[in-house]
Amino acid sequence: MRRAVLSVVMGVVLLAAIIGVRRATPGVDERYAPIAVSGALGEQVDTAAFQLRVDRLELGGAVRITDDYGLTGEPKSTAGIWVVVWATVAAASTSLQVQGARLRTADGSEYLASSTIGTLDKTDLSPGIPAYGPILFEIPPDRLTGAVLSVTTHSVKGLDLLGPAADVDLGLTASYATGLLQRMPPTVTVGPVRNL
Amino acid sequence: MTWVRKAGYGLGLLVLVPVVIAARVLPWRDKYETLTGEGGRRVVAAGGRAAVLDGVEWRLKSVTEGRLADPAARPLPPRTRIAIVLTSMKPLTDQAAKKFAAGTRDCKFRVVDRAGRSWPSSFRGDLAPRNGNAGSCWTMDQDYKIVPTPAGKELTIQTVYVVPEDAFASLEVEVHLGPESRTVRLTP
Amino acid sequence: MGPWAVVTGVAFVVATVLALAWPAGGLKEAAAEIPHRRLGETTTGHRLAIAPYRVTYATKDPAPVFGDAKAGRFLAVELEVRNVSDQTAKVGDLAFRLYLTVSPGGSTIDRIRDKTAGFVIRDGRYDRDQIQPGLSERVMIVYTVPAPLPDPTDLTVTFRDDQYVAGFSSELSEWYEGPDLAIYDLKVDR
Repeated sequence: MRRAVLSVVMGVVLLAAIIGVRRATPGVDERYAPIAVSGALGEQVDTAAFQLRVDRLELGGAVRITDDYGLTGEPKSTAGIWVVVWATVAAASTSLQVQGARLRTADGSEYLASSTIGTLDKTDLSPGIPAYGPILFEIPPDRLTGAVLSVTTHSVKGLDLLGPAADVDLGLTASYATGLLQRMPPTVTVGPVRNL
Repeated sequence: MTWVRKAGYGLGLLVLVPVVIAARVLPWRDKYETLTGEGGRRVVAAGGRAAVLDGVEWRLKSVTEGRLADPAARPLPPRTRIAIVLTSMKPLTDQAAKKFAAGTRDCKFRVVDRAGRSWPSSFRGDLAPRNGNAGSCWTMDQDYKIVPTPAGKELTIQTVYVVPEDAFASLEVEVHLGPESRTVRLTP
Repeated sequence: MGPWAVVTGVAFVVATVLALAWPAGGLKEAAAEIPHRRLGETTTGHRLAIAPYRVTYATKDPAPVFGDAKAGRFLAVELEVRNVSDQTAKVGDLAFRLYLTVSPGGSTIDRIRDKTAGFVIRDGRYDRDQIQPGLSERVMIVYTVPAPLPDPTDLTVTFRDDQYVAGFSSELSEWYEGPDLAIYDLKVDR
């Protein structure tokens, strides 16, 4: 009888172990996820393909974009708020774009940068010629706290398998985010992207 | 089990493991080459000598510095220079000319510096006068139809680059010929 | 044969059935009948929630890209769209999941070939196409009515769901077509 009980217990333990291992196994999206280098606001993040530094952060109820010729476009409104991330990027060895710029909010949502042209993420970057400019995001205001910037070279995830990525902590604590929201101007004018 | 049999199993494993790994990895290698255009056949020529790939002769004629002629033109990024590169291509036989015209019209030029950094040719037309040179591996007639280069005729191709000052002195030229992913590398 | 053998046999059968049926979704209840909805009613899927609010037929392009509107036969569907997923979506992703049939005649409008434009209506311009998670946008999708069809008076739109799953066209998770969520029976204004 004792042996039988022991067998049942062993069976249950093994079953639990199997379930545990299956649960803990990373899914295909995690296994092929880009290889991210972490950093914070103001720090230079070096990935295999590019260097990135987030310089500052700005909010706005609407944005106006200034182009290369100094002409400022009509205001673009949003259902949420505009988050403008000012950053400096340089390609490491071959020319590229950082089209996979996403704002990852605390609830796990990923906001791909606005498809608006004339921003840093839509700019051709060449080695040794860094560029400074804005990246635009539209998010609901209540998701600002804890948002992190994630940057890869493609906007389509399937092209970034095990590719280079930078994750930048924007320092958006609850009190800082609240302060930014309270001081948010109705319109911000951004651009153009400049080579440094 | 005798030691001979054991050794047999061991040897079998030694063969089987690399075969299994190769079967998993090689298709990926192939995909990688198609995707990145790297890893294909490569021909290198240094010191102004000619490189011959599939019956086509390639030569780097010059790398010179350009200057923005129009003062109203969009300025260059700070600490950069204009590199004007003249490359020539000449099909050596009729067969090579035909093959080149049919298959390898897709050619991409880039310059690479000593540190391995590379720059694609610029789309800006105001960086350097064309001086009658071709802009790519082929020329077009008045009806915008592609004219193949006949055997024995040399085509001079001008490509222009904006590169950082520190890269200018060590530039080499790479011509990437698709779709078979071949590369010609020319060093001054 | 002892009692343990019987217990083991029964447990084996039960476990096998569960193991096969669970991943196949066999233990879920059968899909309910697809509901018919009207203008202004909301349908929520896994990626987007939609509420159509206007369908118009026009003989001029309601969303010209450059200059004067082209003449033609256009059907414009306007919807309130909310992105309920955790990833950015585009108007094109929605248009891909809307299946249209016009009356009289009951003919299909091809959701890909007959679509001429799809955009977010904002600031009186048509240059935006993203719908961000947690945000609602007014969206217009424009189709051309193929030549042989009579001028439409009614439109039926079937809204199909999206599912974020792995392993179809690539190993990674992507949005794939889910089941039909609702059928909208709409009148066409002019």
